[in-house]
Amino acid sequence: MIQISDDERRRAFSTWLRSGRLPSVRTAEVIELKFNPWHDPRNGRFTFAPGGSRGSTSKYARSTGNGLAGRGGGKNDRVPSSEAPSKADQVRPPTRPGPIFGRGGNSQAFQDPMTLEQAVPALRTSPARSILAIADNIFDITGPGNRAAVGILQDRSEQIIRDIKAIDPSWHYEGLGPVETVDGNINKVNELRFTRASVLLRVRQEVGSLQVETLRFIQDRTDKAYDRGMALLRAGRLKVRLSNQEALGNFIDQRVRTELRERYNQAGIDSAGKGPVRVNRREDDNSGADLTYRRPDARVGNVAYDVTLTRKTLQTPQVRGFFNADFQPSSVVIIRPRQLGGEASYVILRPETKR
Amino acid sequence: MTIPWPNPYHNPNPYIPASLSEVNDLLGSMVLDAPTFIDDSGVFPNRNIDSRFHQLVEGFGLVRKKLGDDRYARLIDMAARAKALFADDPTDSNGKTDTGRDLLYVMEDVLSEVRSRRVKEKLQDDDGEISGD
Repeated sequence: MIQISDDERRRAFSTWLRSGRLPSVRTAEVIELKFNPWHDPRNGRFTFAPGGSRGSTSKYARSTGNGLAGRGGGKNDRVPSSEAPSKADQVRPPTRPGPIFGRGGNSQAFQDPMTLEQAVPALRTSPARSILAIADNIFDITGPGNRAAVGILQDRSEQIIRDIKAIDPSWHYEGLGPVETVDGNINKVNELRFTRASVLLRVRQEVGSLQVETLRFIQDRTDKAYDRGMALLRAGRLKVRLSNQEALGNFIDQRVRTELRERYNQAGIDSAGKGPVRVNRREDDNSGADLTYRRPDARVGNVAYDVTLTRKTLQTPQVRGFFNADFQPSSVVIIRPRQLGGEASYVILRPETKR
Repeated sequence: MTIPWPNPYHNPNPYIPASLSEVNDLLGSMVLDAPTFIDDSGVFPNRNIDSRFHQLVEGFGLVRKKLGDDRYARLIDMAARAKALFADDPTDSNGKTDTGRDLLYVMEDVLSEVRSRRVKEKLQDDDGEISGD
């Protein structure tokens, strides 16, 4: 049980008198709950844009195409990209979000970003063809590994369970009982977020939240597959046909796609049919004289996802092919292992072209 | 022996790959996860060597018609041998995991051959498209 001081108790009572609701208990050590892309993943604290581990503003201004900067491991641990981006292809840094409609001071609003526009606010205001970096903290739930963090995460799980029941009153959580570890509770929050997204799709036909959760899931599994693949590659235990990069990329793609299919299957989503959620399915392109097609690693609604080791832009034929596909994606999300550093993953907005 | 309560980790509807490309993806995934196939992150708590090979064998069954009976029989045999090798080397220390991985690579080659042939012969997949599936 969390102990609070008399002062905090009085403040809570005062807040209850004024607003009719009790504030949640917070201490200096606990993680912040409200969604904000500007916090430091090392300690969970808010920072001023572009603070935290992302460094100074100047860092964002320079090209990140070399794939050599960033976290974890040495230079030899990474498979570098060969492309140097032109100025137009440079990744724009994450921008500090303005007020988001439907959230603001509404205590009942979702605490997590529920659409890609909320996760990457610059999507709403950037011109076509823009390439926008994704703030690291939409992927991670970070905070100190202590009992307070467990309590906060458990509260968050309860809130998401309430969210889901509000969307679908017939839904029941089939948990395995209390989870005591921080990692276990983070997994539970992530699982519930994915479940909430799938319930929103099923009940309200809303794909926005699933677009965000799919991005978060793919990023997490891509990072893990990269670590495992690099370890096998270094040990000479990965079958290489053309090059190390090609072999590593193929195995990462295969593992991420398999796990994404499993994740959708857990959530009761068919990812192999004609619906809005598809994993590595043929997407026709009737824009030219001849019928052609592309196979994005995943597609949720009008967003395509591509897992890759190399940096891709609108100059990349594959990306242009995605945009030409009949489902007319509004954006293509490029997901690369975060171990490559820089703005590893980013969103490419649809170019303004007439078909 | 009767289990007094249902296993909370049991998934009654596990994902089973239903096309040649999905089975191929599963094989690639298994190359990375051998020999135990356990997911340490906790996202897939019911994953282990039995569940993974169950998915693989059931997947072969779903695409059996496209494989042909001979190839199907070869793949089932290789899957059984690979599973035994991985089970005998849970700490990846005696070399059997590498031999098992080689069998996964051979299985991938068999699937690639079938997919290439289907494209060449313009055979349609379940969606009526020529994709190799």
